[in-house]
Amino acid sequence: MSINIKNVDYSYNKNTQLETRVLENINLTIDKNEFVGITGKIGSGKSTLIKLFNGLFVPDNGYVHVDRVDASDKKTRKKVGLLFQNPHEQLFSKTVYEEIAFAPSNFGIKGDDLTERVHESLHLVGLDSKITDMSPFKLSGGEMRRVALAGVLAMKPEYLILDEPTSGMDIKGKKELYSNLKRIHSTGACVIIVSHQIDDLLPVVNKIVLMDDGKMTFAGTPSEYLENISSPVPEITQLMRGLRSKGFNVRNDVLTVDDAYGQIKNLLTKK
Amino acid sequence: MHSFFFNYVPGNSLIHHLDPRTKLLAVMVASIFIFNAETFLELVTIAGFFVIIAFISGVNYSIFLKSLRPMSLFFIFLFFIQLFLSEGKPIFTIGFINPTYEGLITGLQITTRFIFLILFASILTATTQPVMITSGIERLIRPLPLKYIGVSSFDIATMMSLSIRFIPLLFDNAKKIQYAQMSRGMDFKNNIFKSFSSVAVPLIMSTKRTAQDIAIAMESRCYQGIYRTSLFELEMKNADWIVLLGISIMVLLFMFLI
Amino acid sequence: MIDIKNLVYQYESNSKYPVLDRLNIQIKKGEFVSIVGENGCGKSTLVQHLNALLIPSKGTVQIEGLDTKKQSNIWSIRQKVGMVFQNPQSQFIGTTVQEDVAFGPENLALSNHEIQTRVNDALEQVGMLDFKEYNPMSLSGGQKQCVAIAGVLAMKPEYIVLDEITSMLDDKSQKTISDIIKHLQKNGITIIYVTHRIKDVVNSDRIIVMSKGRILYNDKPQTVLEEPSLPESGIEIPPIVELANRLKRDGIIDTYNNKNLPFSNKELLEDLCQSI
Ligand SMILES: Nc1ncnc2c1ncn2[C@@H]1O[C@H](COP(=O)(O)OP(=O)(O)OP(=O)(O)O)[C@@H](O)[C@H]1O
Ligand SMILES: Nc1ncnc2c1ncn2[C@@H]1O[C@H](COP(=O)(O)OP(=O)(O)OP(=O)(O)O)[C@@H](O)[C@H]1O
Ligand SMILES: [Mg+2]
Ligand SMILES: [Mg+2]
Repeated sequence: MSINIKNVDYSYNKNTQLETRVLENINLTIDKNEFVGITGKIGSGKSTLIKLFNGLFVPDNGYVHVDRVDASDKKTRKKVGLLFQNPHEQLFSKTVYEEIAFAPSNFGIKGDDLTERVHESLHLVGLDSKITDMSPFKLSGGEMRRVALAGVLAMKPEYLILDEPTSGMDIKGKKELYSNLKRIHSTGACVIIVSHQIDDLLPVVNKIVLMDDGKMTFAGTPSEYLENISSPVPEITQLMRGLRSKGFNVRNDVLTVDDAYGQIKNLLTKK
Repeated sequence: MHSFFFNYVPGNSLIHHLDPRTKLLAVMVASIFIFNAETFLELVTIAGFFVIIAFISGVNYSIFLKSLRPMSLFFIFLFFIQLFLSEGKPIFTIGFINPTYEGLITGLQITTRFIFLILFASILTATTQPVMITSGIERLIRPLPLKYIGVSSFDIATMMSLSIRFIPLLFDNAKKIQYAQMSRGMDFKNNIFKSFSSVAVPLIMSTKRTAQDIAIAMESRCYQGIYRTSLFELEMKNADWIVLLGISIMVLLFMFLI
Repeated sequence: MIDIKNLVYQYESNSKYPVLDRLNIQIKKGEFVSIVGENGCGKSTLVQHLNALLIPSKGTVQIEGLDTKKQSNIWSIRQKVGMVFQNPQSQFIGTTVQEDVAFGPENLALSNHEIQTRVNDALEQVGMLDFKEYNPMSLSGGQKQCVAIAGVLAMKPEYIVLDEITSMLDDKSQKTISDIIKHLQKNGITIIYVTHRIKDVVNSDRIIVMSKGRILYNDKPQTVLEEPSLPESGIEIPPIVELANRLKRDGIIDTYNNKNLPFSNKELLEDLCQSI
């Protein structure tokens, strides 16, 4: 059970003068039990890459398989839930309720089960059930993103792919989201997050993928990442690396405030 | 994707560098000639002009031919209307249906005229960025007393460039909605009617919303529909005057010859 | 100077309660003010009042004495106050990046030469000059945000409102944007900056923390970020500040410089090297 990406190239505006290659020779395997973070500069091809995972885009060369079946196959698409980067890309319904009910009702869920699913998803993203009759477009930016997220969570996909789910979300929402994702992952779903906030990714994921200019320049565990990659790394890590380069004896893979605090205290007691 | 409608093809040819006003005037003159062309010889001359100008523009001929595609149904319709509804000597008669030789001739004539019209216009669109076309038009109509009908030449130009932007946006929106629905389990291949209706309603709403958003964005960036300047200054160069002179000579020649 | 008095705002379609509840805010010319607060607390609604896109239900908003309620003031207000919206998608007007950035300056009826210079400068500043012939709709999320910022920079307004413009930016572009802000600040431009990343706001002159349409705190970053009840109001304290806070409590870094907390990585590193 895995997503397999083999020798994949992708271009926009194929066969026109504007043709631009944005993905080049991507090879990547994501196992069903993984929690993956994808990061990289703006315009490096992250959003394009994940649209290949649920078959919206078809690679020019190579293939993308989900559980050994082509990603654009109807059955595989049901397994893969994708949150788009911009909620405006994703939302289309008249009301919040319809928006969240769209996927489950396409999968044949009806009646009370459907209502329950909608409320459950709203709850997961920390929204009030009172807003079900509102237009999703008359919400604040962060609320809109949460509705879009609820629409994807309501699918209960086996592979949950989120493009910058926390952008525009407040810290409370962000913390709740990550704890929910950890739980969803522990129930056996694969979670893939695209984010610029490497601070958020490193502590939770077990694989980091780094994209640069359409190429995959790194894929490995967070500790391998910290060993090999100098940027981007979290600010705390940067700070500790700064101390290290000044000759102090601290580790170079410090991620949390607690850890950093402990290390600095340690330095002082040793002295 | 968008190249379907306004297929500007970047290039460096003489035609690309002409002022849009020159090209607009040239297209206008060309269409007058096209609509007055009757004999076979005249049509061939026009075709000759097209081939030469298209060659100078350096744009692949296939791009011009593609611009005819969206209109092809219209051409066929036009041709058959003439063929069947013109009075004259019948080619054959089955019941009501009696195509005439005269109809065949006028049908061919009129369809050819329209084809040439589109072809010449497509030289303009292929060698001129949409924004240049609109500022060209804006400059040409600025002297007209439009304010008496309640608009300014700037309003018209902005409306035109917005509609140019809106058509591809409509397609973008449709595609976005389709992607969003596909990602959440909508099967577009299964039930054509259902898939159409599930895109159509959101599309209408999203188009309305887009229009509002753009209006707000324009307001907040100080758009007022009064005098505004342009990123691209239009400038008549020597080449433009030469081309305009050439066109005038041709027009005069024709007026005196015919 | 921006003067907001007793501002109340209620959306028509959302009639139950006012989204903004009797706000009083003064912003001096040249100030850099950040606005933070949980989702839906009214930040975007508030800042849309500043260039008269929304008009108060009650109370007044004045920009240098110009009341936004008065129709005849709107043009001068919009010329003074530039605004980058939260959703970059819906604010593009041009068919290419450069046409879009030029739209504002064109409305200001600047000379063609001036427009070209401004467009190129603005795109250069945000690092998008290479994309000037591209269709803005077919850019990546972060690229769109950069172009939207350029569109307002090119108008050179005296006040700039930035509504969550870095939410999709990588470290490098965020750095670019904070450099741009510093530069604007130096030139006396007033900046109103809405964000969820407290990291971005430590350099501001003042932080306004909002909650449910009201103001919770309105003070210097030093004061606000040391506020013990801050985490309860849903505000993130940047890890560096949290670490500094703890080290200071233990008396580890306080010794060297008592004036305020070190907020950036570099400052804390210097302080640490001094004290260890
Ligand atoms: N619809 C499109 N048409 C043409 N080019 C596109 C389109 N969408 C994206 N691109 C280009 O493809 C490249 C990769 O874009 P993509 O959206 O995958 O980047 P990204 O890594 O997600 O960036 P970001 O972090 O800014 O979201 C960019 O250079 C972008 O300009
Ligand atoms: N057009 C609208 N019509 C009705 N209600 C609205 C509209 N826009 C926003 N609201 C409501 O007003 C409140 C404040 O929204 P606002 O967009 O100002 O929040 P915000 O502080 O910017 O939040 P975020 O951090 O999520 O962007 C929210 O509860 C929202 O649901
Ligand atoms: Mg992206
Ligand atoms: Mg907002």
